[in-house]
Amino acid sequence: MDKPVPIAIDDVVKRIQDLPSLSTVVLELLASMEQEDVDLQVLAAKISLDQSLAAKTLRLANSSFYGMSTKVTTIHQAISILGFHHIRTLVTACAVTGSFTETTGGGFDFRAFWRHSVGTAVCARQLAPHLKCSPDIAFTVGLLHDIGALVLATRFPQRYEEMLAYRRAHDCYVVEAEQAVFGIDHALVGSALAAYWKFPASMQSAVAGHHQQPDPNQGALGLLVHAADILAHALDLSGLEDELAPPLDLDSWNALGLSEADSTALFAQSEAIFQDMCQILVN
Amino acid sequence: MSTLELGIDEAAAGMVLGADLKDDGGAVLLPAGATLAAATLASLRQRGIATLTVQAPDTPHDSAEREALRARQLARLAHLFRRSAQAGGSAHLLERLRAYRRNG
Repeated sequence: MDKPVPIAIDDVVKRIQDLPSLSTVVLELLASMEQEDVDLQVLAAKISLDQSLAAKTLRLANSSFYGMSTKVTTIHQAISILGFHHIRTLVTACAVTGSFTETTGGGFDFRAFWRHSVGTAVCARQLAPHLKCSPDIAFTVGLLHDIGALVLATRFPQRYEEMLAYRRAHDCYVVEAEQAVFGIDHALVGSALAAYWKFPASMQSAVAGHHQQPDPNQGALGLLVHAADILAHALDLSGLEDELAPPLDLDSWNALGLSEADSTALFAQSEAIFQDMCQILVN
Repeated sequence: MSTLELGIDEAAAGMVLGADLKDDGGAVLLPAGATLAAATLASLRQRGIATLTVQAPDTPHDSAEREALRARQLARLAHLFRRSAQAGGSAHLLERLRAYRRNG
């Protein structure tokens, strides 16, 4: 085929504005991620108004994710027992996975997409203590790291089909196929969406760079998401037949500093927590 | 379902309780069937719990079946790493995953 005209990032940004919008509550929660003084009572009341969002959040709070012995039955109770940071992470996860439901036909596998995203989120959370990162920020960035793929698939469905066919024909990485067919990749598109949703800067750059060799000067969150994505592929969490683990360079492996006991625990915990989370977040 | 008794430090996240875990007063802290998350184990350790009864993992009785399952899992790993096994970090990750699947 003739080399297709590359899509300009500005065109993508315009299409982003056509996406189903996240509710105001969730946008407020995302924007508050690096703020210190947040009005908990007001936010808790707003979350509780959305019944299905609140119900899903409570199911997650009561799952093995936190392994609590007491069940929580209201958002206020969940916040007082688990703390606002944890609840914010859960609410964001529920809202985002609920926002993008299958709207187009075509080759995009929504279920596999969310399975991989939840898998990366869980792996990122389990890796976070090793890299001294916040588990909640790690989980949220992991969940949203591939969101650019959703933009490309839903805004440019025909080209997306061509990209998938290219990937299959060459058995190459998705970013290689995207570069060939779109001229841009989902990491760049994802960072544009992260900017639009006003994520903290550290999260935007972690999304932008997740398929590149991490820059040690950029902070640990980039390495964390890069490694978590690879691990989620390597643990085969998405359920896709033609899964492919991206490469991990030696410096990044050494920077993770995982002993054998660490990696065994990491694999086991990630798999177990992933099963529980998927039952609640991905239908 | 057979069970094992383990010291709290031998238990790992993801294991499932084989019997109700009770405190000194006999109240149930966690019911049988509960999955142990890392946070749960940490809080049990803090409470001074020394031993746990966990469900023994399911293993196929037939050793040939077990071998076949392992072979499939190792072949699947080779497939997942078919493009990246040469990368320095991937080689280490693959080695750890092979050991994990072999011992599972």
